[in-house]
Amino acid sequence: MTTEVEYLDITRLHDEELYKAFLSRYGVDFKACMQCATCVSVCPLSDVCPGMPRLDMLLVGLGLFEEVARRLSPWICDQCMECSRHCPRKANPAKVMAALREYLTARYDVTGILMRVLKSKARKETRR
Amino acid sequence: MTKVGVYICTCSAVRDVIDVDRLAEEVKKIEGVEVVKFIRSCYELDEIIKDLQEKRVERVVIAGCSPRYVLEIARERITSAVPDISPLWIEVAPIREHAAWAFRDDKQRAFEAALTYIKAYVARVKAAPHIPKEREVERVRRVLIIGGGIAGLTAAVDVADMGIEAVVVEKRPYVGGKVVQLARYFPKLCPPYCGIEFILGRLRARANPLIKIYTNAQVLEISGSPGRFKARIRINPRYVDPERCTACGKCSEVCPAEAPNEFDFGLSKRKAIYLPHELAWPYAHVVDPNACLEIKNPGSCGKCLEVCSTGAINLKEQPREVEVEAASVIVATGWEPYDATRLEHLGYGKYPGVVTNVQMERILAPNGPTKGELLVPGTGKKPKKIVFIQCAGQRDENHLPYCSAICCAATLKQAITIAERNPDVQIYIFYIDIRAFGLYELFYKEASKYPNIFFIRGRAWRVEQDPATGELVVHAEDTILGRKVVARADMVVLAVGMVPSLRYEPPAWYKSGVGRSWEQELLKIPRHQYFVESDYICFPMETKRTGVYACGCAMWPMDVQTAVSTAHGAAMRATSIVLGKARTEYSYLTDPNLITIDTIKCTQCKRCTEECPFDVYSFDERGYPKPDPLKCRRCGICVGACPAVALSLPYHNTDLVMSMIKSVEIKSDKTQIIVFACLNDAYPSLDIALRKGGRMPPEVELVIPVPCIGSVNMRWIADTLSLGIDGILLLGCRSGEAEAKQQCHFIRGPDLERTRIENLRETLQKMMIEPERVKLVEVTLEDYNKVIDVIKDFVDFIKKIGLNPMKQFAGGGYFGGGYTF
Ligand SMILES: Cc1cc2nc3c(=O)[nH]c(=O)nc-3n(C[C@H](O)[C@H](O)[C@H](O)COP(=O)(O)OP(=O)(O)OC[C@H]3O[C@@H](n4cnc5c(N)ncnc54)[C@H](O)[C@@H]3O)c2cc1C
Ligand code: SF4
Ligand code: SF4
Ligand code: SF4
Ligand code: SF4
Repeated sequence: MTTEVEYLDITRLHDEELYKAFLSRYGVDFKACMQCATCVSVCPLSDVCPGMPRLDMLLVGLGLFEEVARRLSPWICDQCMECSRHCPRKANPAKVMAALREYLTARYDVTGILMRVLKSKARKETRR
Repeated sequence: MTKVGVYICTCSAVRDVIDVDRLAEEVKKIEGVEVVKFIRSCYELDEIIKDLQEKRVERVVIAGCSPRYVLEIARERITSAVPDISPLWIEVAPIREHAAWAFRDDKQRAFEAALTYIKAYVARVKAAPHIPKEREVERVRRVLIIGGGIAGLTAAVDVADMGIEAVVVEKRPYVGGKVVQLARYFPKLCPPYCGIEFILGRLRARANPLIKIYTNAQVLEISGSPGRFKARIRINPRYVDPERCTACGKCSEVCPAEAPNEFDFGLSKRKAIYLPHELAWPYAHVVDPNACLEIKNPGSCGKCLEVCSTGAINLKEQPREVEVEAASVIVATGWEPYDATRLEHLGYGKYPGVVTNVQMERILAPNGPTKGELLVPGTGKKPKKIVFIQCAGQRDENHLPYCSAICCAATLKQAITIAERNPDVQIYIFYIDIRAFGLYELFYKEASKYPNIFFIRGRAWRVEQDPATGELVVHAEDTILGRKVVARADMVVLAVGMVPSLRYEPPAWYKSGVGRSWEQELLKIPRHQYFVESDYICFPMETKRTGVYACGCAMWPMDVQTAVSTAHGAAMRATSIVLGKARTEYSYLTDPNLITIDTIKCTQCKRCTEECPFDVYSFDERGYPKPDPLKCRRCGICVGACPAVALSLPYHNTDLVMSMIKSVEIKSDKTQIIVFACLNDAYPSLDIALRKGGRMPPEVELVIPVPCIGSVNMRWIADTLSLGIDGILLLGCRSGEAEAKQQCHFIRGPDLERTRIENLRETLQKMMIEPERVKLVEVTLEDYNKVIDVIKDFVDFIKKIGLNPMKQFAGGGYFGGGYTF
């Protein structure tokens, strides 16, 4: 379908396996993000990478890992923790940024070992 | 000759500026003043009461603070001690605010002002009529409640709690309204049946004469006045006697006829004879005459009659009518879901997988079409992905221009319910903003933490089917990503809004005395598309019809807790019509200040009937307007409207106002201004301004308080100008009736007054008086920092125009006292 070219197909691009793995490693609290952008305002690097870390929160929350992989933010986050300190929903964006760097590292690990480790940690119970 | 006593307060605020001894000497010279005495404060009334009791005086003017502080107390105490005095024979001349404080730098002007005010109020008490302290009205001890949903039932129980009879008229065959169709309540996720059972318990416990419920019924007509309305009620046949039916269900088993089940919003079928739902009350079957074969075609069926062992069924039952008298009416007719077939772009009616939120309630309900199992209508399959579309018609000028208030919370509830029961179903919620007001925010946060609930900010604008996969494809722009997105789903839920039932089923009983349509009256204001608009902030339960109150979703979209709260409020207002006492704020019934019409003066122009905001008028057999004083809210707008000055309220009429104005001495070489001020806003605003040190321009002679700025008659204005007064300033509240921005508690006072002043221009021009000498300015209570400037600007403007040419005929020699048009 032509739509796939112009539109972001959020249901098809949702990577359920990675999403579950991510949730089981890091919990569901980050999903409380309400896109208020406080984190962007306080992040010293959001001028370099617009929307950081809010957009990363959004994309991971939707399980759109392909989209996250295109972003610079996970690589440049220096874990100053300002975002997490100010997040009104205690969604802990800094933790998500760290997790994303872990995921991207695994993704580019040609041996595939890191990715297997990452996914293996997925536990059955993913709810809250 | 009426004997007036003037009691001058000598508190330091007055005495510091005004030489009270000299003032007393001057007051003694006023015609009719028999007694002048000093009091130490305005609340020192013993001396006054004694003078009245010993008949030294008959009418009283207290010269002191603003009447806002003193007048009601003085009237209450004095009328209690002196039996046959009219409360209107007691007045307060505000010489502290409007003389001592207004002119605190100019003792001579302050002295003159004090004298002017005392003269004006002496003239006013002399012109005041006798009225009793309060009025006895016969009031039926019964309240009629239209609609037996959660709001109507709550109100009924409340009314009965106060020892007053409640009659509920419900159009469906059972009570409880929409909440019995809900799967669970947000945010507690508890069963709505629980709350309904609780109320039913109270109704059953009260199976006593205090609560009477008519189901399958409708109100045809309401006539009469508050205190004693007469309602004609039609009771449609149920065809089953609820007293005999045991709800055994044998009849439904044998009935061959089927019809769509409205309880499931058409998602299932039911028999022609059926039990509406498990907790239906009355707990009895009912026959749908449009589906029943025997009723449509006698002799063709009748199977149910054979199996019913109690003989409860009577397919020949006829509708009947009853008449009920009630002191007041509560409208609790609730809501209906918006007609989703009008949302074609969202695929409703086209794809069976597209349902509304109310249908989703039924799908999730344990007694629903699928017994609570999540299945896609049409295919009967379990969905893997569900999309919720928020604002499906709401906040859209093409559909419902307002927010339906609860659909966000309802979607969160449905999403949580689905997510909890089906962890592998993915739920996408498309929204503009999630409006989870108050504590519902916690519920929103809770929902967002479910792994399988996703939020997409963007309004879905199209739903299509992918011909290849059969999936429903929802299109939107994700406004956060700034990209167009699609979501594929097996099921789409449209979160449609609530529409007050009155819109789909207009209240035929809501008749106007002078033939105004209810839409014309009530739908004109966009903000209040539906019912309540007497004043939706200050008196939210009041409608424009005195004695008719509203609660629940008949007012506007709301959740159950608000529906219940408003029901308590409406019950309280409705019972106050039965129990209320005069001199409380809302004793419209027992207030002795009755609106009266002088048919000798009336020219039958009908202005009063058009301008009265509360539809008080009808016509008598000779065609004269006939006010119903029981509906009147004492705004005086009709008094201001009548070109023939034929209408009067005892405390606000031509005699009183003109007597005050005529007491002002016309000075041929001085600019003289009269100010009319709305008693609710502009007048208190001035009180505050003067207390805070505001200085009145010396040109202002009198500030006359009026119940509403719309109660100022143009005849008074023309006469005042013809007397030689140079300018008249009217201070009223904010107008804006058409956009519901008006601040006037009587809805349209300033709007009407503005039009009247516009229409007066021509008359004034004919009289060779500049129309600019009359001005209406909107001043609200919070404007005390600028009200004095408003007056100053007006005075400066009038001074530029120059003196009123009428001054040469000063004293009313030429036109004065006569009516000018
Ligand atoms: C999808 C959805 C989910 C919701 N979920 C929740 C929830 O979880 N929690 C919550 O707090 N709120 C919820 N609500 C809101 C809730 O439904 C309303 O607040 C509640 O129904 C209001 O009660 P009511 O008595 O005012 O109106 P209704 O329930 O509509 O009752 C009105 C009654 O009047 C009758 N009637 C109507 N016209 C006439 C007439 N002319 N003559 C005689 N009788 C008449 C009707 O038959 C009905 O019985 C939800 C709303 C929607 C749309
Ligand atoms: S992570 Fe926190 S601060 Fe950042 S957008 Fe989300 S809620 Fe706001
Ligand atoms: S922790 Fe990372 S994302 Fe958060 S503020 Fe610091 S640099 Fe920005
Ligand atoms: S005083 Fe007001 S409410 Fe009463 S009849 Fe006149 S316009 Fe209507
Ligand atoms: S406005 Fe006055 S003259 Fe006109 S119909 Fe009413 S009472 Fe009569």
